[in-house]
Amino acid sequence: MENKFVNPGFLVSYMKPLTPWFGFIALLLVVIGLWFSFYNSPIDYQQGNAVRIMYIHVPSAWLGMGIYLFISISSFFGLVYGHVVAFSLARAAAPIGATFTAICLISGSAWGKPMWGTWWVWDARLTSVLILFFFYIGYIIFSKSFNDFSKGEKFSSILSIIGLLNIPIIKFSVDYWNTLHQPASISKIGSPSIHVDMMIPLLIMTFAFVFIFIHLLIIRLQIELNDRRLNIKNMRSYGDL
Amino acid sequence: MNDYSLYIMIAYISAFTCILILACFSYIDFFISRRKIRNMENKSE
Repeated sequence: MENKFVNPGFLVSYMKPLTPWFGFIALLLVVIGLWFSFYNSPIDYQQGNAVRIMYIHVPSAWLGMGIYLFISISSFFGLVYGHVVAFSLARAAAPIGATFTAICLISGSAWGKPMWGTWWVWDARLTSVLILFFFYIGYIIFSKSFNDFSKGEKFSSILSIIGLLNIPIIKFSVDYWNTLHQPASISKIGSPSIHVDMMIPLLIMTFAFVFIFIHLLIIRLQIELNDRRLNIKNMRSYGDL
Repeated sequence: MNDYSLYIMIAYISAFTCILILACFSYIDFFISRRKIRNMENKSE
C-alpha cells in the first residue's frame, strides 16, 4: 500500500492549516529566546558579552548541517523511488539551509573578530562550513538550470549526496586538525560542558529556528509543487512531453 | 570596558535580516506561483 503522504495534494492540504501555527510558535520562541539571550543569561568569564553571539551562531550551524542532511536523504529517496514530494522537499529546503549556513558564517565572523582578532581564517572548521555553503549554492543552481525538472533534479540530487561527505568533515574537523575554532562543547558525547543558564536560551533559539524552517519549508513546498505543474504544462504546450 | 556590542549587533541584525529577506522572497514567490496556477486553470476551463 502506498503512503498517502507521498501524494502532493494530500500533503499540502494536510500541512497548510498548520503553517500559520508554525509561524506563530516560531515568532513566540524567537521573542522568548531573544529575551533569554540578552537579559537572562550570564556573561562568560573569558569572552564577556560576546558569548551572546553563540545563541545565533550555534543554532544556525546545526540547522545548516541538519537541513543538508534532510536534502540528501530526500534526494536519495527521490532518486531511488522517484517520488515527486521527495524531490520537491529537497528543492524547497535548499534556500532555507543556505540562509542558515550564511547566518552561521556571518555570525561566526562577528564572533571571531573580537575573540581571535580576525574576521576569517582558513582553518578546517570554517573552510568546511564555507564548502557546505557552496554545495547549497551548487544544488540550487543545478536544480534550476534545466527546462526539464527531472534532469535538474537528477543532477542536483547526485551533487547533494556527494556533498554529504562534507558533514562528518565539519563535525570532526575540530578534533582531527588544529583549529582556532573551539572543540565540541554542547553536542559532546557524554555530558555537555556548558552551564544550564546558557543552555536554556540556546535550546529556545534552536527550536525557534526549527519552527522557522518548518514554516518556510511548507510555503516553499507549495511553490515547488506549483512550479512543477506549470513546468509540465509548458513542456506539453512546447511539445517536449 | 569593551562589551562587544558592535559585534553582537552585527551577528543578530544580519541573522534576522537574512531570515526576513528569505521569508519575504518565499511569500512573494508563493503568491506569484499561486496566481500563475489560477491563470492556468482559468485558461483551461
